[in-house]
Amino acid sequence: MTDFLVLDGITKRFGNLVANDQISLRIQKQHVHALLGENGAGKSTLMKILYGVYKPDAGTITLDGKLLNIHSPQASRAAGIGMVFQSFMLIPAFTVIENIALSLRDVGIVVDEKKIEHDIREISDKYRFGIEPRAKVWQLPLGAQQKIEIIKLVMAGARLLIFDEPTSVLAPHEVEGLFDIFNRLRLDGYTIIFISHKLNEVLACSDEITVLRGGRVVGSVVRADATESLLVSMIVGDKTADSSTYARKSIPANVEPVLQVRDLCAKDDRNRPALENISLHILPGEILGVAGVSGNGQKELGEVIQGVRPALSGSIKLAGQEIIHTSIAQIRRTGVTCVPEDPLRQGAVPVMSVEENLALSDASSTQQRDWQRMNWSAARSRASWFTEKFGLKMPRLNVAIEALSGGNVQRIVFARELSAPAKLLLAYYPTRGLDIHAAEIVRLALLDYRDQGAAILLISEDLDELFAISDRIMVMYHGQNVGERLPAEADVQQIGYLMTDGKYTPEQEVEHVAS
Amino acid sequence: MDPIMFIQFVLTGAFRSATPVLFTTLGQTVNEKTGVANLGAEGCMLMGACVGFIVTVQTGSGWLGAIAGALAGGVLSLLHGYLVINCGANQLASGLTLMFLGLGLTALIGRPYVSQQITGFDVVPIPILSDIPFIGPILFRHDVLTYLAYLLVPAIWFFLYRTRWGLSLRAVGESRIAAFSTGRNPALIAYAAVFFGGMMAGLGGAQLSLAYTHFWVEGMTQGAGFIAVALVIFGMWHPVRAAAGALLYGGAVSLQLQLQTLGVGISPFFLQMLPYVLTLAILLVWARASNRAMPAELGRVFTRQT
Amino acid sequence: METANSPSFPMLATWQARTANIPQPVRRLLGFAGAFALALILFSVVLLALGKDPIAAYEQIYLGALADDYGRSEVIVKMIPFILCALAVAIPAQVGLVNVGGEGQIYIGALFASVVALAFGDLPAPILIPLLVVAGMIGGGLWAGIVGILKAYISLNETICSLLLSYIANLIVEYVIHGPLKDPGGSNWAYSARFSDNAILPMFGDTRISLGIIFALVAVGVYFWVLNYTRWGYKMRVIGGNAEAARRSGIQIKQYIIMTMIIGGAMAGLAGMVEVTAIQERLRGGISNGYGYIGFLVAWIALQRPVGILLIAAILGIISVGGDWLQIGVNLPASTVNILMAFILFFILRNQGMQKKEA
Repeated sequence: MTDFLVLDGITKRFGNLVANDQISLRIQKQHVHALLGENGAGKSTLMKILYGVYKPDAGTITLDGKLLNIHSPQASRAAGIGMVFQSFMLIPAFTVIENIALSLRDVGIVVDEKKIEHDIREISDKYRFGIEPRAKVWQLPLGAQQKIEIIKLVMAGARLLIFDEPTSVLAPHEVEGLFDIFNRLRLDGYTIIFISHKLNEVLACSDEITVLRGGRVVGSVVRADATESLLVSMIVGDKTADSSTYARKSIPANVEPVLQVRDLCAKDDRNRPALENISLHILPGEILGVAGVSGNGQKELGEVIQGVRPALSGSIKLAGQEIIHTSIAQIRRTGVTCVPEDPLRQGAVPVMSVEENLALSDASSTQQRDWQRMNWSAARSRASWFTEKFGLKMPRLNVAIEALSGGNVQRIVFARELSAPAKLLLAYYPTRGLDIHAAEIVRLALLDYRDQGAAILLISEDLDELFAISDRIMVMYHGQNVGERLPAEADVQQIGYLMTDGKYTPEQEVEHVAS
Repeated sequence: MDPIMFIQFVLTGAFRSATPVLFTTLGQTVNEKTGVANLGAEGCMLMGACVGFIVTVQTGSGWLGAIAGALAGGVLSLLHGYLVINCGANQLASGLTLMFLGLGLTALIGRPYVSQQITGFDVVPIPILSDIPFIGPILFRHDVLTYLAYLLVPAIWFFLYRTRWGLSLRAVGESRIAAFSTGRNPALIAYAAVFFGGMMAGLGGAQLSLAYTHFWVEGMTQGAGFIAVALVIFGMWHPVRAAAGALLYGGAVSLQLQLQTLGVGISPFFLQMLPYVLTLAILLVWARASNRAMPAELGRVFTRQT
Repeated sequence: METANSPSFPMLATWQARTANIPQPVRRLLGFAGAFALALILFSVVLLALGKDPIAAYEQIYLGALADDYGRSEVIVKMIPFILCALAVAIPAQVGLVNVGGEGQIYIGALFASVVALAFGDLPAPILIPLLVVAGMIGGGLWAGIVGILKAYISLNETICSLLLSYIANLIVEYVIHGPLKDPGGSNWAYSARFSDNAILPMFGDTRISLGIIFALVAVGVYFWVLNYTRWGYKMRVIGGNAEAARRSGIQIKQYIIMTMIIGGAMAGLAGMVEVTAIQERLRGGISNGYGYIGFLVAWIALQRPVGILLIAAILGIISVGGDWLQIGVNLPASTVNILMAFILFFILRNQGMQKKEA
């Protein structure tokens, strides 16, 4: 076996953040090589460097014995590297043939659709894609669109194929088919890099697995040596979560829950099941932390509770009152508030000033003492109160919010949503991207809000954070609640199993303890 | 009147009246395919009609007039291209500006030519074919520019759907990012298409003054450019369907004229309304098909990234 | 897109860089003045190239529109439809809608007002005129409301829909004045009978400035107040700024789409009503004379701001009135001023686009 691709000492910084730190990696010819790691471990950055989207600050790339100078995706493609991104570069209104023709270099003045169609059919038959070349892309499911991207790469002569979380767009039954395609491509001489954060998938299809954490290589193992427990400990590290930093409050056992979700089902934007009979409850004065790899229904759960996304079935009771078929405004008035996933896009108006944005939570308020009149002086005084409390430093309050940094926008939205008492707060990644000090202020504010009696659903990627401030941790996997733990009684590995595999069985436990 | 003769007159008139609008509609179909709509088509038509007329008067050559008219329309539309593609201006506002510019410029430069008469393009019957009863007079007794307009329908179809350039052009209208990432220059392609759209509008205007009316008068297009923009939607951005729309419009105009000569008491205005009402009906009934046919980038502001 | 963005005028680029630390409103005003100056220069060049005297032309525009009371009053007369039609565009634009159907909304507003004026011409003016106002607004609002409803419920593109309805409205009026409302005493002329005196809007002194200017100014004032000091205006701006955030904060977007279209249409309808009751005194074809399109440009150039609308409407009013005098004074076609107007718009649009790109 020869090393087909050698990455040596690849380093990439974004400002203060070191996304890739001295990454060295060897990938053998005709292997399916998996890159495994949590969100933010540096997998995507590394692959974008390989594909020429980013330029590394240091390090070399050697492909098939030749040192490459990759400065653009074009150069990378010319070297035989192809990448299938999570969002496809296809034109929905075009046919498969037209999309492929667009990516080919040597089409004549008159496009020879017959020949391209023939070539597509040939590849499609060879790998059993079942693609109809004359179909329009918008008519095809995402799985088929992914196959078109593969055809593009094959027709363009790529030898190394990179797949960035390819299973995230697939239904479970399509995943196996993809692995089958990997296998056949491999036998035909292609080398494959497969980015994932799902253990079972990686174990099902790869020859070798490299785990990244915090921008560094933790290690590489060949498939035969890989076990779930080994990989889990590589992914999450051997950290022991500190669950005693913040004071917890004991909650009386017999109180009525603020939020009671039963057997809730909903679909995602692509019309696939996102929530599958999920049930959960949160008591007043309790923080329920939700752990899970992103894309397992966390987003949809919050949206259904807010009334932004329709529920298919099930029940959501807020303080005993069914809210499932009420309007968004109604639900907000009942006492639900939310720090959204993407504050600038979902919770702010970019062209408006800080103080105008701070007034947004009042939009559906019932307190219309002044008829329809906006009370700007009240908004202004509240704005300065906010900035003081949350230590927001900004030049002026009348500056358009789009001119501010992402972290500031996030804190403004956070501050606004926590400014009025509510029964339930949905908090999405409230500390993501903030520096340590700012994150601490946000956490204390959450605890303070909890202590005032609110129930909080905290969705976070940061397990340390979940362990530190949750009163209870729930794990979401494939739209289900696959387990709840008390932070004091659980360990990170247990949660890691549930997140990546959806279960934590006695056998795993034995294996885990043994390792 | 003999009903067959009546139908023949109506259809002949339909082809005649449709020609200026057909040129413009075809051109606008092409430039909307790159995502740029041009409400200034009216101004481009006027430029074509006026400059074409002036050049014909000065040189005596209808052909030189037609070419000059097309170029005048194209050059005017480049201003729209500059505002929209280079400066990222709002397409509708820019188009309306262009319309006012065309209106004013042609009023000014065309003024000395208002009462003049020219030969321009005469009807050229096609031998043998024009003698076929019924069909002959309808299809084969027109001026050369009218024949050209109808020949352009399959030619533009072929260009858009069968050539590499057409593919690039349509890709720009669907996704500037995708076109860019496959090594194309969306701005340049959009510019070329806007120029072509303007040329076609200019040619349509030239046909109007050189072959249809044989005179020039201020504001003579009377909104035909706007009609063309509406017909692009009617045709769902497809040249063949756009031609059908132009014919429908021509037919409505022609039928109304024929009915008037017969003294029939149907209001002509309902007939004239027909193309718009049909377009609206199509949008209502086939809203989804129409939305899908619409180039995804249509009307979107050009930004630094794309 | 390297080619599209490489500065086409290097000198201009350095100039822009040097002015970067001038405060925004001042810079906007300077840009506006610059655009205006460039347009005047370019227009002179065009006139010179055609052997006309630009100084004489500018003098004529000044004499016609600004030198005496009559000219100034005529500017105000023109401003009425410009302001109202700009509002017809600006109000829906606040929630992100593009209404290019002002023309049609004018026609239907004028038609409704004419029907009321002809049917109830005997009513005393203090009763009839409010009725006419309401009728005009209902007409325009109805025509635009169709667009709003189709947009809200089946996401039909409002630009296309409002444009198509404009043609239909124009033809409906043509039909009506050739048919049902044709003046029996007008022999072959296609227009309605003259309205009774009770239906004619009162004028100020011996000018042609009608009560319409009060409607227009009040409308701009209300627009300013609603936009800045009420929840309605605030919610409209939230929708226009970020519809997704608006939806998530519980704002009823569909209601606002329909309501802003209706109110916008009502403004254009009011303009149509003023046109028939104050200027024409009867319903005719072609009454709009491109007001809907000019209104669109006014609103867009003014960035939908109330004061900007007044200012731009005044400038275009001056040009428009002055243009009519070019014919008489220096023997140029009246629509020559369209060139000047287009040049001004061209340079302002260019500035706006550039500023947006810099941001």
